[in-house]
Amino acid sequence: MAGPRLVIVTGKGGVGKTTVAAAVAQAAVAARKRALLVEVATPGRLASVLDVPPLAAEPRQVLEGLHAVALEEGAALEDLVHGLMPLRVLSRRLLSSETFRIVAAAVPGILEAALLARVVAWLDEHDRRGRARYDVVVLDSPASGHSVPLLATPRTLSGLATVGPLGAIMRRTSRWLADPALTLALVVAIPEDWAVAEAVELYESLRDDLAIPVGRPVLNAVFPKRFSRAEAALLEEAGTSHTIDPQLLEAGRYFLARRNAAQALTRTLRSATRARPLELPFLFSTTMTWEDLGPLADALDGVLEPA
Amino acid sequence: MIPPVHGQGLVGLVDDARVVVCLGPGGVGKTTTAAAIAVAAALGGKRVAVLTVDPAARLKDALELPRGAGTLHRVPLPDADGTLDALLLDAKGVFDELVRRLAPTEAAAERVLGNPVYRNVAGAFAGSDAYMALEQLLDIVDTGDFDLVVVDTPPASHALELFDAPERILALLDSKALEYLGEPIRILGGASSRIARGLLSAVLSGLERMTGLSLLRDISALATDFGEVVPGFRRRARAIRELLRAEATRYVLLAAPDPHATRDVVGFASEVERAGVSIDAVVVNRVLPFALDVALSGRRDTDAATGVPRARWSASLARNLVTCAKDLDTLRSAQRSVIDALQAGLAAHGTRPEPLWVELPALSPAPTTLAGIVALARALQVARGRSTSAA
Repeated sequence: MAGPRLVIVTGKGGVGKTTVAAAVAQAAVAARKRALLVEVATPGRLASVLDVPPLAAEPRQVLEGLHAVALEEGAALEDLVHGLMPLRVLSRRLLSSETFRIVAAAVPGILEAALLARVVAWLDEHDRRGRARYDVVVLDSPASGHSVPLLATPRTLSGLATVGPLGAIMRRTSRWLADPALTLALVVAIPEDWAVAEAVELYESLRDDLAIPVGRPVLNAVFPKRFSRAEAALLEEAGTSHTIDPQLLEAGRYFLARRNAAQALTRTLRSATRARPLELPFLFSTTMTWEDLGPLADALDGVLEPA
Repeated sequence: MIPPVHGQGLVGLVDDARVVVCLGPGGVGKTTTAAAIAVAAALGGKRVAVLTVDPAARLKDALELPRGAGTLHRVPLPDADGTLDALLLDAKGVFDELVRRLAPTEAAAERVLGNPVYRNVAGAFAGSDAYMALEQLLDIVDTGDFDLVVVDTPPASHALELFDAPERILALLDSKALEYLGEPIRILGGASSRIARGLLSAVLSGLERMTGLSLLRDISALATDFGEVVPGFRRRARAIRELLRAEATRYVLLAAPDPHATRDVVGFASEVERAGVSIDAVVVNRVLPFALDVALSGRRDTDAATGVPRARWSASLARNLVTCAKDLDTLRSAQRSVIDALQAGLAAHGTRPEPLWVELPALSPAPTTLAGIVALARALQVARGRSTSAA
């Protein structure tokens, strides 16, 4: 099955990464792909969108065709150490020590390496018939302050690690992250200056510094177009000389202002990244559940197609 | 001409404060609100400093700060009775500076700073940028130059990262952790058979090979050198602990009316309470700036256009306006139910005494200039605070 197998959703905190990641997973499920949705560092958020009990450290089927998991640094590090240590009793002894955690944290990138190693291990899993267990893994990554170091890790470490099982894992992860046929990073913003500025920075460092395949920048929560140019002009001047129901006028003008602000930021995002932003509509809904994500999943459908 | 801001609502609440800490999950407008609180207090005649930790440096742009972090910079506020200085946190710089200041000799400081694993160990000790923000806060308060210091905290999913920071560093310093770091083999404690030692060495040297660092030697050297700065750290950690719990330190919890944020915000609040301090105000940002009280009934739909000259009015504009109003009304109800859930959640966690409740409008566009921040400061002035029980 064609299309990326690893979709990494990144962006500043508060831009709706979890919602976008869930919508990508929904698009995958709609395309009859078996998807695994991975949450890092925002415990509970994903379970709330999916309306399921809190996620565990092992993938669990939450819907037909969809598994979800909460990936935790501590658990990932344990996996890594258990893999390294020949005796369980020793690895457990080591892990129970606060000092070991400090020593481990002293190794640059060890926690990040452990997280990525876990993700790649899931991508490598096969079912009894030898098919990949998951067609697509969607990673809801930590806020962008953290996602650059996370994604830079394999590059840094595989340069240093020349021997041992970890070196091999990092080289493999590195190859995954660099291959446009396998990996796609999505940078998410909302129509606010700070979010767009951050997205541009992140987009550039993923594309230029880390050479990770980056998809079109995603602008989430865009107010839809509701008025023609002539109608917009009429709204702007109405109210002073004419009487329209003042509440309707206020609503219309507010809508227009939000729409215009979003359009201006779409242009900013486009000229800074030289890529056409993918706009996701603002969802006017009193709930925010899996069912409500339909319009977002539709808009994101294309990202799962081959590059 | 900027009108003076008088103490009322949120502004009144921080009136007799010396420190205001803005807390909350990422993306809820902490940075902007912290700046607005600081501007409001400066307009009201106070000598104010605002400390931001935002890596994207939004506040830097809004406050027209020059490039570069780590130093206080005067923000021009024409017609303000007070003054405003702003500082962008340089977390790495703060820790380096502390090591320099606390080390007995310059050579000792350079040995620590030059150690290849220093940066990572320092990070592990400090927990996060949160501790660095608190160190910086203590420095600013200690200058005695300011009536009020407003702190914008790093985005964190757990309030405990902030409150635990001093405790964590004290616990580590008081424990045998440093000795162990100096001699990693002691981690194994009782399991000190030759086989165990051999395996541990194998693991650690595996890690060494992986990273290309001479890990054992570096960690051991760092532990020895770091020992010399420990007493100074201990003193400061205690001072920070006291500052966080001081009578004149106020906590403002920021939230956005986003359905998925409720759990985070309530969790945050209960962690703050558990840390032994109370939240003095809750600010809900990005609330729809007007109420659509009108029932959008069928009659109104068709009557909406009355009064507008027929020639310029189209049926489609009327329809579009009604659709917009209906969408915004849906958004408003969604926000109300989130706000109700927030209030219920906070009340259930026994936030006491009941915090001041302030709702700020979703501005379009959001303020990114000093003028925008000043406008928001004025909104704070008029924002009617209410207690949760009155809701």
